[in-house]
Amino acid sequence: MSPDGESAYVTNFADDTVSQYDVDPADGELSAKGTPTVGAGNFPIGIAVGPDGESAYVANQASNHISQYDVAADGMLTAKTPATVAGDDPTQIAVRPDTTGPTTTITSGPSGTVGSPNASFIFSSNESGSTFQCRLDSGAFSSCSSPKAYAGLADGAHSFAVRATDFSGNTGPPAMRGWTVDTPEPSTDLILDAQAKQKAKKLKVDVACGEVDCSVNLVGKGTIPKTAGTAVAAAKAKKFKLKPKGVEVAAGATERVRLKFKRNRKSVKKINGLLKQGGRKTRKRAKAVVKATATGQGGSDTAKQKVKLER
Amino acid sequence: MSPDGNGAYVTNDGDASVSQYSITADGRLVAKSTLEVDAGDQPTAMAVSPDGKSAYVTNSFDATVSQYNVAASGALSPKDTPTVVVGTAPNGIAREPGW
Repeated sequence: MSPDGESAYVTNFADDTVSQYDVDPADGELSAKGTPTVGAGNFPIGIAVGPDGESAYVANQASNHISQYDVAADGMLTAKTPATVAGDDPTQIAVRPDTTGPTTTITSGPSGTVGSPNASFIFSSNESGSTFQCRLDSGAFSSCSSPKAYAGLADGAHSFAVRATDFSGNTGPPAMRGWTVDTPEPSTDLILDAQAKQKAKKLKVDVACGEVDCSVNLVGKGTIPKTAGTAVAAAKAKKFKLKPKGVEVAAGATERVRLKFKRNRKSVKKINGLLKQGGRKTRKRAKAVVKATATGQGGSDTAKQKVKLER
Repeated sequence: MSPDGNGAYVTNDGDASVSQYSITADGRLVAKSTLEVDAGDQPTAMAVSPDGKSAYVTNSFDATVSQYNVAASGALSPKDTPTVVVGTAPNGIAREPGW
């Protein structure tokens, strides 16, 4: 009888064969398998199926050896290599039942402090045919398979445990892994070029986001104040806008973005003229405000910075 | 089955002994370092206890049962009382199912 109760084997000592049967799970009736018999040695008597259900052994008294077989998933026997081992007038066979749970090993997964809120573990058992149960933190063990992935974990310490149960129903001790999630906060570090050249009709802005990749959107606006006593005096303060711009910034990198005035060429020229005059003669300088919004892993951040426009 | 501590045991009818084998990870039998342990005259049936710690062999000519301790390695050694007397010509033994 196989340990899973699905197959039965009979030694036929006059035929030198082993008959193999399927066992009907409902009423226990036997029906011959696709290959009804396999060869054995001379005068086979005892038969036993190994504790993992994957091997079978037959004691052949007259030929004085033990035949060994692989048991396929469908319970059919095929001779191992070597097919026999020597005996000493062998008669009956017994195998020691498996009472030891399998050892589980975690071969891959986060450890220490990691920036990612996601985790994936690869693990294995020292017994083939094991099933696994996983547990995250203080949760309950539930069935799982390798790899086991978790997403969106909160910042802080976490623990993962996995244990295996073998073919015989023995559950081994869990393998454990502890790690800490510390998702970096995104940040923008705007640096506006104070020497923005008006003739270039653009502002230079340096953008960095610290430890994470981010997407940054930049907008800006400004005012040219009313100036007095100059050749090209503005009668009243003029407002202008900068063209919005988006940029992708890699972790640890600084991107230089050029922001243009959102005006037609003619008005840009006029603005440039006004900037020049205003800046030199009146000390009333044109001002711009640049605002950046960064979105990256773990959240978003905004930053604003004023800049004085001068020659 | 974990590779350590397993065992397959074969009664040797004409030799008054039990041969003991280890089972490799791929299921092959390999003789243990002590291949044979003594049994009674004409050993026939054999059973291992569900906890894997004891083994019993019926000896038909002796009308006895040989009893063994099974070490962590799976090796057999006679218990303090190596045999108990049973009826005439015992020829089968079963272990108590489940535990």
